[in-house]
Amino acid sequence: MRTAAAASILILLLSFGAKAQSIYGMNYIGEAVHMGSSRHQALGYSAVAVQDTINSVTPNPASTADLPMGTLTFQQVLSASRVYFLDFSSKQTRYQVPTFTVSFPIRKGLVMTTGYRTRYMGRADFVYQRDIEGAPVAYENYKLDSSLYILPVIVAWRPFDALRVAGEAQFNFGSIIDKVNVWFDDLNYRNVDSQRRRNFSGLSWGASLLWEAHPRLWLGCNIDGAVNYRVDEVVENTTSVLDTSTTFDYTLPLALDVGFAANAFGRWWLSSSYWMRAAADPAGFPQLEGSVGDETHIGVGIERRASNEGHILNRIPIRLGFYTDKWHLQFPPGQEVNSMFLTFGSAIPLGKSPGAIDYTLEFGRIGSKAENFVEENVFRLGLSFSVAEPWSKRSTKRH
Amino acid sequence: MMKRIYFAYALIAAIAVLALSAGCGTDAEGPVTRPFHESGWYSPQAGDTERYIDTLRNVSMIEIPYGIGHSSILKLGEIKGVRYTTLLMQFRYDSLANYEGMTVDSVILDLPVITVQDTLFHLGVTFNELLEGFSEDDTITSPPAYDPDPIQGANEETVRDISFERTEFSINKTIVQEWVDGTADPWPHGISINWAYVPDTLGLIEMYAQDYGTNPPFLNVLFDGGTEVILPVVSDYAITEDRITDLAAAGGTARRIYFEFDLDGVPELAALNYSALVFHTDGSSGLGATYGEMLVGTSTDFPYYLYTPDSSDPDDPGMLEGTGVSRSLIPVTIDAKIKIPLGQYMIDVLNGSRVNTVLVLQSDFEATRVQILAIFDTAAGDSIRPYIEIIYTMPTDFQGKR
Repeated sequence: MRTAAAASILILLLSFGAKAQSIYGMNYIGEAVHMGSSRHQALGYSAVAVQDTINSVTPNPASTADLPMGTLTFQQVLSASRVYFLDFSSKQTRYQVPTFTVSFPIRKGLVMTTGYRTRYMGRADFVYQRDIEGAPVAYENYKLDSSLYILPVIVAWRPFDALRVAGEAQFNFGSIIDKVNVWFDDLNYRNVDSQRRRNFSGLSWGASLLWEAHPRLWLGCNIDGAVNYRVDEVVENTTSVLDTSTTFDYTLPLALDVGFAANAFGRWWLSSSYWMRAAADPAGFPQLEGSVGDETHIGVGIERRASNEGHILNRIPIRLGFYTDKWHLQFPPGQEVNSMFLTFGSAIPLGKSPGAIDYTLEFGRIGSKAENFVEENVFRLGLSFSVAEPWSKRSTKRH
Repeated sequence: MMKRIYFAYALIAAIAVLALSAGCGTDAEGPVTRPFHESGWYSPQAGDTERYIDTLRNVSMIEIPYGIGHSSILKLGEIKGVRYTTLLMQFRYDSLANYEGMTVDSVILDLPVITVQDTLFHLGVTFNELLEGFSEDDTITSPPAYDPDPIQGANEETVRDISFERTEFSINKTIVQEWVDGTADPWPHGISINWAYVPDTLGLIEMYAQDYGTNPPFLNVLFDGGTEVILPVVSDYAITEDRITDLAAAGGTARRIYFEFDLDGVPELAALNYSALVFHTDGSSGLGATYGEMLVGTSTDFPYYLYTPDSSDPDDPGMLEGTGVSRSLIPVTIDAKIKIPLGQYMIDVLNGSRVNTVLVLQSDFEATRVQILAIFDTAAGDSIRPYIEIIYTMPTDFQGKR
């Protein structure tokens, strides 16, 4: 476990210096981050009804009731995209902050999980040139650093062989930081800086269910309760008399995820899910009045599960998926922003351990030039890393 | 074994992420973000950046009577409106006591001239015995009292003509013979060398001063029998008269320029990017160093000191001291646009923590060197008149355009 933790920290360190998500995330509260490990990513995030006995990061917390050992899971996504607007294009490489959770079986069928998970995030860093007569060239620099995250405490229970349920306390935190900076190509010129920082905090609840309706049919549901955030806003400027601070409330509405997983034949399983969150009132974001709508996700996945026998190719899973998202924001106002992704993935088993390295490739598009003026073609690489060891007290030898 | 596998997998993953990251790269986002920004979807909007020119309410000079005693070079004549009217010299007479009973054959005053501008310049002067003492440490702006009857030469001449070729002047030997015989004291306060008349063409004669360390002016007393005694100068002083007509800051004489301005055109909420006092130097009227000073390795740059005075009233002594804003070097013998950044001073003025809107420019070597920084005044054309330049940015609007 110690070596696994060190390896995981190595992955975590790689994420430092992380940049943005989709360019569409450079506003409001950012881009929704889907729940799940790279296994679930490979299934088009359609796996709310998929039983998982390896990963602690899952789209359905009730699934963690099946973890037989102490389990640590990291998930990291690298995104590379090319953004198009008119005749301009820009290639971007970005990381998500990793998601990680650790699960501790208290007794068989009763598992406690905690960790870190990002709900929404957005990052941007762009600059425009300013020409001022009689002065050196000036630059207008904008930076967005937005992250709303959860520190969940989950208790998952399997009261019957066919049923898993979970309750979740969500400690919500995060911040949206906008920095604006005007600077010159001359050290004699002073930067003029402004920053608006909004710190979010709030407690929310979640509940989930995973039901084995039939050995070949599983149903799943996850309710992610509404979050009533308290937002502390501080605006700081180079001219300090302009500094302000204020507090307001912002409610992130409840999200609901429902789906099924069905054994089509042999080791092949089909899964699908529908996730939605109602439109939020954009309190604190008056410029977005009339531009916020319901957010939805529809995913479909096919998985050929791994066999414990046979050729090496039989021992690894094969996963394919498709998903489409409707963003919570409309751009231009009234015009939906949609994204579509194809996913492909597999896993490398970790020897005789129940752990695995799951990996996923995603290819997709966010927005379109015809409808949204801006189109982003995206390639994503997802990696997750799960390790497990029995959760027991070590014996102490006495000499 | 399992631990090795875990670590190997993690390492492979790390390398893969790094390789992808390095291979993909990231462009500047600039143009592709415009639709979001210009529509207000992404709301922060930086305020406008503007350039403001304050043409100055008033630019004037303060004249401060001043004199410089310690100098490596003594000067007579005039350069760039600074007239060197008088030289004061004191000699060391101690050794004369050893020659009692001897007969003086001749006496020569030797002035170690090193350069004359221009080379044909010559100046008629008289040597007069000083009736008062002087000190190099004092500020002397006019000659101390002296005997109006000039010291005569060997042929009883009173007006001597100094030029590059003529630097040795005879002194009536009977004067010195009386010193040797003890019937008269040597000139107790020394002599002054004064202009005998104003020449048609002005120029400058430069010679080593005793402060240079070697080769000072001296009296050469030659006795019968060939014995020679040198009486070197032990204290000397060049007195100046300020005849500068241009708008100038000058050391030595001395002059300072003060600039009065207001910032009514700068919005109250503006955040300062840059501010500067801008002026154009008039190289033809500037003086960095005389030729003689350059020969002894003196710098030609004008070290300036810009300060905000304790009082904005030119008649108040508080105008002569205050808080420093900037100090550096300026070349003064070429026409150039000079910008002196005003830094924190202007920030303080704009945010109201400082109300004084006057700046004073002076030579930072005001007490040690005669130098002139001449600038074009407010009556000059727009391209060369002085002004205050301010570049500011208005506050960011975080609520955006919509």
